Amino acid sequence: MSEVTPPVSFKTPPEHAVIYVGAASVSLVIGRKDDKGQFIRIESLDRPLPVARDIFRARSISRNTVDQAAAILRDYLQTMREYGIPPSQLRLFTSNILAEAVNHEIFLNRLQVHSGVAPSLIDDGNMTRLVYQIAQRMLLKNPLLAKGNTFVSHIGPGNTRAIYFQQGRLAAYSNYRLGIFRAREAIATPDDEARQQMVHLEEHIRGVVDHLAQDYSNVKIDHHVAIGAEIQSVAPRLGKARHGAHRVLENDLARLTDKLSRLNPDELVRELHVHYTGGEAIIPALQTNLALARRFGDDSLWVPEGDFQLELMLDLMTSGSRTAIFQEEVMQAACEIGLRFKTDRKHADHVANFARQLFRELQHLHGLDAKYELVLRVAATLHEVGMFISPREHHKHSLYILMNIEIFGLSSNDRVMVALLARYHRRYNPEPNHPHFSDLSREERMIVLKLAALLRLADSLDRSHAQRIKSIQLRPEGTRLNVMTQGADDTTVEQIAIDLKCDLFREIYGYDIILAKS
Amino acid sequence: MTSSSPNPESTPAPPQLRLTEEHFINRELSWLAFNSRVLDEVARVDLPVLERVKFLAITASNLDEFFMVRIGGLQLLREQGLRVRDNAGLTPTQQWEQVQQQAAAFVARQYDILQQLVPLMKEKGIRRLINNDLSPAQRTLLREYFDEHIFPVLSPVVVDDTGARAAIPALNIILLCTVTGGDSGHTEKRHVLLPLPANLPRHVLVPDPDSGQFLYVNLEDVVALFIGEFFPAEKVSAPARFRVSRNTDITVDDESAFDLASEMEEVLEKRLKSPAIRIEIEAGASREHTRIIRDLCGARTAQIYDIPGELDLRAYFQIASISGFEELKVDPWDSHPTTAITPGESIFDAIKRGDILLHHPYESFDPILALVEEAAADPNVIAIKQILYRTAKNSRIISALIRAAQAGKHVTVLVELKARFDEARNLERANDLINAGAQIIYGVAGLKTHAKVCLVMRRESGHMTRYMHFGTGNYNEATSKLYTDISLLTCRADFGADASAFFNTVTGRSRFVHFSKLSMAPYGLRERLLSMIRSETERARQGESAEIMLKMNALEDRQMIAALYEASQAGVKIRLNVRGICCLRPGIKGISENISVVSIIDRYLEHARIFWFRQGGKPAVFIASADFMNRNLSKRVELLTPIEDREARKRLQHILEVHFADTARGRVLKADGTWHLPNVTAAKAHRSQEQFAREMAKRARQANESPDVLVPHTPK
Repeated sequence: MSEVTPPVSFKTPPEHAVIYVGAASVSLVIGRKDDKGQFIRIESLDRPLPVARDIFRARSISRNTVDQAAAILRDYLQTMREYGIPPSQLRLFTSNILAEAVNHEIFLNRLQVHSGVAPSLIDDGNMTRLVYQIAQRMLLKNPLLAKGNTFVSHIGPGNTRAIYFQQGRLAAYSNYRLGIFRAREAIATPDDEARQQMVHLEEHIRGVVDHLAQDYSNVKIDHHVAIGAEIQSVAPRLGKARHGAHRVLENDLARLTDKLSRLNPDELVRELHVHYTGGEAIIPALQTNLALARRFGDDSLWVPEGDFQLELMLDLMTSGSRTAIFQEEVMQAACEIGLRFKTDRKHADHVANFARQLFRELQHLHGLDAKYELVLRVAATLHEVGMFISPREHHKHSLYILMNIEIFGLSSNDRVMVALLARYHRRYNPEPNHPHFSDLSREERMIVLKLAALLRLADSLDRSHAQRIKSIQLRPEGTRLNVMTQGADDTTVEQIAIDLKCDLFREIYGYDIILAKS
Repeated sequence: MTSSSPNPESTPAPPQLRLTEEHFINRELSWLAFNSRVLDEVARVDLPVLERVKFLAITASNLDEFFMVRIGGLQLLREQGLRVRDNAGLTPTQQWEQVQQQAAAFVARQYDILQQLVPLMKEKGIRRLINNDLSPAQRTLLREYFDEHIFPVLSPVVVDDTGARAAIPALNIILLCTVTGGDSGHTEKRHVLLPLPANLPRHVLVPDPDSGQFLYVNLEDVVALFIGEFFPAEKVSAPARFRVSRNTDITVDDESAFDLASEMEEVLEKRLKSPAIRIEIEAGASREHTRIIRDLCGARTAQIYDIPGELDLRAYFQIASISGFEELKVDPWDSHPTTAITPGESIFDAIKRGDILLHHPYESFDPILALVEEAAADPNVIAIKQILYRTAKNSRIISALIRAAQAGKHVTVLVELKARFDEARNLERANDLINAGAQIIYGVAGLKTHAKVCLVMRRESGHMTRYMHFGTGNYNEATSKLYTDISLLTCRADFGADASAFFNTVTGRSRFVHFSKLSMAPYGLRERLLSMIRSETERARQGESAEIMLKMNALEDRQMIAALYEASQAGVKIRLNVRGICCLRPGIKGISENISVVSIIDRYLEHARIFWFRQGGKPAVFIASADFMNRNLSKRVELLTPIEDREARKRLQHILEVHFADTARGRVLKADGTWHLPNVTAAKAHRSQEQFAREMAKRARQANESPDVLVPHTPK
């Protein structure tokens, strides 16, 4: 095989590639940006790889599987070579269930060796955002679902995400250890007759499903939306899509699941050929969705139109830009958490607003990516959750709480940052030997320091917790940053707070902060 | 999906259709009926004699293949004692017996007609001389030829040597003579085989410049004439002439074949030694010789065919194409360049303007060659992917692919090694491609890759455009002039994505993942066709007007036939244009009254596959690489391509309708399995192929600006 590169111009091709090592297969999508700046698919490939089976059976990726993955990557890189896509335009992701394999480092390393790029685990945050976006899009198209109280579930290979919308706005979010492959590997042998399998499955997942149902027992659910690659791929067989969604009757789904479970793999491909995406997960996915629907007493499920797998891949291709609506939902979720811990809502909002303003107006100083604005705002909203436990050392309580709860829409990295920012909003500055802070990379520590400095300033501006300073304007002057305030006649208290807490700001940015009335 | 097929889960289950043996026609007998229809063409007195002779050769070649493949298979079943009944209820033995009967009658008819053709040829100056006709001068000439060309390469083999069996290659003519001699007056008899050298022409020319006639002697006659030269001072009997056909149905076990190419080579060798299926012995052989031949081949008397004339009528292909006797041949119908491409224009620009539909051979195959050749030379082309099934000798396409690989393009070729009879040639060229740097796949394990598709990936202003060819016929320049076929050239993005996905699937780069436009066998092509038929059936049940028109080479698959019967029962009007085998019985009351079947045997071999479904007035039209045979739908890689271009759809509909209006060559199938030409006078009869030729000529004329303006070839 000659390795000659095609004799065309040396401009980099517009195509990008994403490889995703999923629960049961490795996919490659090659895409390019259309006129609207959205990525569209040019080519997509998929090959089976029993990752989830290995993890949920043996907690380790087998040697065989690792070798298979290498062979698949080799082929995929060959396809990329046909387009002339350079490694800089390839992104490699893996499912987050990989974290549950004891040898995941080794596996990730092999992936890197064979692909030339460093793999990233898809974060919970990414997946949640994607599921949220799919749900949102569907709600936008579908007035019926948007008007009512809609419960959205996404049963993934290892975990299930539940999002609850009330009249189109995010009202609750939770996460469970209920997964297609997790469940399937735990129940009896695969040779069981289909009906038996279904019974065992329902039995096995009863505990976690009950827990889920319990969490939502006190809210009204008008509609249940089921999102997922497999269920979305069979939905067209069960009814035409209207306004972005298929309405699937539980009976029809049960009948179809039963029918499909009796087919051998060969027959399965031919039966599903119109929307086929790969056979391993179909039956367990349908069974699990069915089990959940039954527990909820649904007579029908709403399934969004579209190819989930492809959307995931195209989404990974973009740098994960977050829509404004999504950001507000994250903030909303953060506020809910704040409420739960009885924080001072008004203070939190006020500090968050100041934080946003500071982040934007001092962009030239900190030079951080826009996504950190959201991190800062969430941290501002939640920095005092620790008060719930005790006002004494509440910053440390905040750290503990935020390290251990789910925050909708944030990746776990982001969450760690939020927790650390809460820790460092008062008292000692970060030290390299502090727990959690020491686990960060140098770059990440820098980010925490930069944001912490902003947070302290924002917090100081509402020292009184009475929102005395209504608004501010920033006026840099030499080595002084003049903050012109409006709303308070006497800002002595706030200036004292600044002097006490904003040494960090001076250290990081080189500015003294002086308040002045505007 | 172009169809608006109803939701499969909510379509009510069709009423049970109880089909019995009476509803099916045996496949082998149907095939013999097809070959009979071809023989009917030979019998036509209104055709020029050399055209008739060509068709005669075709029937002989067809029959050879039939014996080697089909009868070989039946024989195996019998030997294994498998009394598996076919759809028509016949056991292998019953089929074998009926086939033998009909084949014998067929052969008799072949030679009857040959006897009518010989004097016609003689009259026009084409004459076969037998040894008695020769003048001394002619004998001398032949003797020189024998000495120089035949004697050095012909190796006699004595029967009784253990090597004798190996010396009987399939399909070659072999002479068997008895040599009596010995030095000391003992009359020791021995029997000797003389296989005719395969590389020598069957007809030895006897030049006759004065008369301008074409005189020739058959090679076996020349050998017989000078046979004594092999056995000096011995007595040689008049030789018997015979020919053996072997079972070539030995296929590669490619599930376990580690190295497919060398497995293939082994199979080719095995075929030389497999058991005899049929022995043809020219009339006049002695009983003793007949017995010796039979025993030598390990055959039974029932396998022996007594041939009332010269063996191997395929030789008449050469006679049919001799130069200088043009008035004895048909006036060729021109193959026209398509009007969709401006002369001198890049094929890529032409395709970008709109889909191009071609009806071969009325329209030339050149654009498909142009696609590959231009792609090979274009620096903007990144990759070329193609499936090659049966290619021509010195295929221009393979040459272009080699050039492309050498130029550094990513060339992926699937060379189907399992294409019957062409394996040897396919192997050679595969090596050439590999050496040039192309990626070669030798087909797919367990399935013959029969799809006809080519994909060119080209960079245009930054992004990638995909150009495709989808066809019903092979990438073979030679057959493209003899067969009717349809080609589609397109650069539609969604078809391009599917084509890429298809190649990823057949090369094993990806598992099958659904297509948006195409269907592929074995992943859903059958299901899609069934769904189209059932959709029409459902419409008829709802009282809508429903219609299906299908054109294919063979209709044999039980499930498809059952679906068509159901459709007919519901009231769907079904017209089938099936060239060869048809196992469906039309016109059975309560089952298939709404089905009519016509077979067209004419100058060109009908080969296109076109499927048309009324769909409530917005017809869905497809072209395909597959016929309605179980092997196509279940055991081969095939493609079904929907036609979206409006003009192309209209053209295909027109093509189908012209076929169904053919009363000159369109034989209609009756419920009893017999085929009949409609009772129409020659003046009133429509001949579809002639109509297409005329229409195309007219189109070409209209497209040309003016006959007095020449079109220059400009440098690109």
